[in-house]
Amino acid sequence: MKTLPPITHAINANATQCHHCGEACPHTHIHEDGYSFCCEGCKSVYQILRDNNLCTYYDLNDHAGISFKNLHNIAQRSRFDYLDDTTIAEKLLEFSSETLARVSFHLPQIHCTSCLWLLEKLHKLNDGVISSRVDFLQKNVAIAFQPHQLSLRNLVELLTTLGYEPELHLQHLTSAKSTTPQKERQKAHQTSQYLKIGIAGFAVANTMIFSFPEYLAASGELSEPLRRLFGYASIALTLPVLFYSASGFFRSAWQSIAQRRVNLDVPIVLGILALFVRSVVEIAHGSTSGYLDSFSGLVFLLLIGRLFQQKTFDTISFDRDYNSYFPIAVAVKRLGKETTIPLSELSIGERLIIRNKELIPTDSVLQSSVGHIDYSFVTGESAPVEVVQGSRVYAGGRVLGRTLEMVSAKDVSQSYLTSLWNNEAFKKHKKNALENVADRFGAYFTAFTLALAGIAFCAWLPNWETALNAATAVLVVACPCAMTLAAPFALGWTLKIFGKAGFYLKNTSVVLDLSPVNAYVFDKTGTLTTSQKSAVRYSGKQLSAEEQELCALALHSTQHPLARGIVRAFAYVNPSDAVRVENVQEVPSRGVSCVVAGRGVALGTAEFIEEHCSHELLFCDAVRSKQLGKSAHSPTKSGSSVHCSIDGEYKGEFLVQSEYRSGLQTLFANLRAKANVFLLSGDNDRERERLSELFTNERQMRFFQTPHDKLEAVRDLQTSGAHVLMIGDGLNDAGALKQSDVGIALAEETALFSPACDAVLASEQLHRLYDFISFSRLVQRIIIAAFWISVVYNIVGLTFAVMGWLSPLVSAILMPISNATVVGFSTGAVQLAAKWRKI
Amino acid sequence: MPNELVFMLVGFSLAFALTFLAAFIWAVRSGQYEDPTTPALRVLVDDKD
Repeated sequence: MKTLPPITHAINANATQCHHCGEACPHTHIHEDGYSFCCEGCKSVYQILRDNNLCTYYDLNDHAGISFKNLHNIAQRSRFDYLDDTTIAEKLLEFSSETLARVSFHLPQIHCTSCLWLLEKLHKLNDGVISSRVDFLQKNVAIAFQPHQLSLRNLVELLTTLGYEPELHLQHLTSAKSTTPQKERQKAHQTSQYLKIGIAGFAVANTMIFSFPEYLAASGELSEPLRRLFGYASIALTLPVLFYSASGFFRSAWQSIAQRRVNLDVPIVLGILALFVRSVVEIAHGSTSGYLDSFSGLVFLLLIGRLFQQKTFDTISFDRDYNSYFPIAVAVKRLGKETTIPLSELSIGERLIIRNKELIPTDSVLQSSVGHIDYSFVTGESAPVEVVQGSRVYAGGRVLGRTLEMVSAKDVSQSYLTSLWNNEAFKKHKKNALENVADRFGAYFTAFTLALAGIAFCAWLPNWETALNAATAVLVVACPCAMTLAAPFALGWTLKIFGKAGFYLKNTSVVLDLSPVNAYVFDKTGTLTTSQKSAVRYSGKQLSAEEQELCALALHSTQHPLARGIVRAFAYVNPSDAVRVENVQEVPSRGVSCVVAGRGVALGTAEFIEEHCSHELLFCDAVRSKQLGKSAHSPTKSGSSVHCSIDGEYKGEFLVQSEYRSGLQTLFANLRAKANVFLLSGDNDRERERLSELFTNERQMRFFQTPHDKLEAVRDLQTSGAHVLMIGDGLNDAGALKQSDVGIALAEETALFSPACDAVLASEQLHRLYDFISFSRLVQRIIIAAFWISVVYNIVGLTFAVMGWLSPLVSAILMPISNATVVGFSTGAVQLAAKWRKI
Repeated sequence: MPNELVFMLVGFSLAFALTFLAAFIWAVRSGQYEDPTTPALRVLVDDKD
């Protein structure tokens, strides 16, 4: 057996690049103005841009355009019919009036500055557009337009012709107007967070200036009016810090006390209140200049810590469900006429028309005679399924090849796939590990400081003044900075470091969830194997270059998924060549025969080829000696094979296998050393043998798993005490991802769809999973070390406090130093560890 | 001891610092912290005409 030679690169290098998208042009060029284009789509975009004087697009970046090769149905204008429906349009628009409408689209194609430039020049292409603004990171464009000049549908069509087809899914119907207030609230929250930090920072710097005489122990030399001025100015500066910057801590502490609980904000509020009140009293009394510099410094650092803790990746969505996958509308046949209706209006018994690459929106019964459906996203089954008239097809399947007609049998929300979301796993709120630990810590810490303050007070008792002094000093000095500063900074940095390495966590708390994992559950299709490519091996008589081309051209005439897999291996042969393919005869699920350049080519199952072979004996020997079965496409131990004959002579067989990701052996060896590793595959078990290299124990592999089975399997593991990490990629894993303690979605393209999860892992980084897990364990140890550092500082500080030695100077030195060391240590240690572990 | 001078200087320094705070508040409010990436790219692709 040998893999096909990589002729691909050699030929591509010689080919002309498309002026628009940069892809290789086929042998027959499409020309315009002396430029070459790979397809008509690219050429027409060029013409539009040229006619509107927008060729700067090409000056900014070479070949900036979006390739049309991967776009289907581009000519199918009617698929945007639903945008003429006023109820749908109303829901998509963020604002609409007679003269102005506003809409935001997600355009996943945005990739360079040319995109940015062109999308903000839409008004030059159509007078109806008033303005358009791009958010580059989010890949969004916000467009204001005049609805009487340009309808929403025309706008979407305009974007689609340019290659930027907006992402329009079911979720957008519920989101545009209803989430606008939510988004605004989020924005307002962010704005106020920056303002709070800014004001606190301003107060720190300026109160420090007023405290300077105190630092120099020169406050005695100040004249009385000056001392008063400095004191009152400090109070004036810190009032906004107390009432505005720190307001979040007060609110949260109050809420938790109202629920008869103690969270981490309670000791913080105790500390800052004690600091402020004592400072004001001492300043008014004239005894010292107060601790207001320490006070605003503490609030400032706490706010920054909180900002770190809330860090997320704006560009990645972690909460998607089937709504963000399903289309908004579907084509139906009513009274013999095809129309497009919104999915929400789809009822049972409707005749649906689903084209190549389109998604089946609900469980239906097939009406067309035969068709192919790719369920890989729903069930994990890698090979496309052949369905015949009258059989049931399930929601989430993708139609391959010819257009299929079917009659809907269930409501969209009740289908086999979507019913998964009715499971209780989706209703319970996953608890946040960080908040959990922090709140428990907060409760102990509060109890401890209050007890210590009480003891100090009682110990000094006959001396009321010193007793009060010592008790407040305890509250002032005690700082839960291990939890409020060390953890947020360490986790925030970890999030950032992981993000750079292609591992995106939903929030900082997930880092803590990763460390106790002791059971890893893997999905197969799309997770262990790549859905992008399959390995094609050829065995038999050597094919000459010409014969390879013949096969490729013959395979081009069919839509069968196996054929497409093989064609990709022949990528260097282009179908639009001058060579004529004639007399194509396709027998569904058996094979295809045709005449290419005067030579008869047949590809298909063993029996199919047998019928096309003149040298029957020769063929029989060749095939039977290998003892191949006679079933369709002869699924062997692993992979499917397609036989081939040219001019009636048997040549050999192509074996199409799904390809496993690289580095799995080492990853699994590492994972198995300390934990159990399981496989939950929706696919059949024909690759059992190959997989047993990874999963040494037979019982740890399960095949033929439905999405519900997967969820239950994860739950069973959890009841047996395991802390489960699930890693999957499709909607079929959505339930298991949700149920597991850490659900990781593997994504080829992080901007595209991934089901609801705790983390998104770029697929090419899968082999580093173990490194990520062990790094998160290291981070946890770093946080514990920071905790001990803060314990040492607290012991020193509390000694001063209990003895009644606390002065503004001691506080001004001790508090910043302890906070800075804890922050510095956790930041530095995490960075160093990342370098050491090469994350 | 020229106390009045110090009073004045404190006033000046505070006024000076407050203008910067005001500038910061204005910047945050006018949305300059919302999307730090796109404007940076936009300035690179400004029109020739």
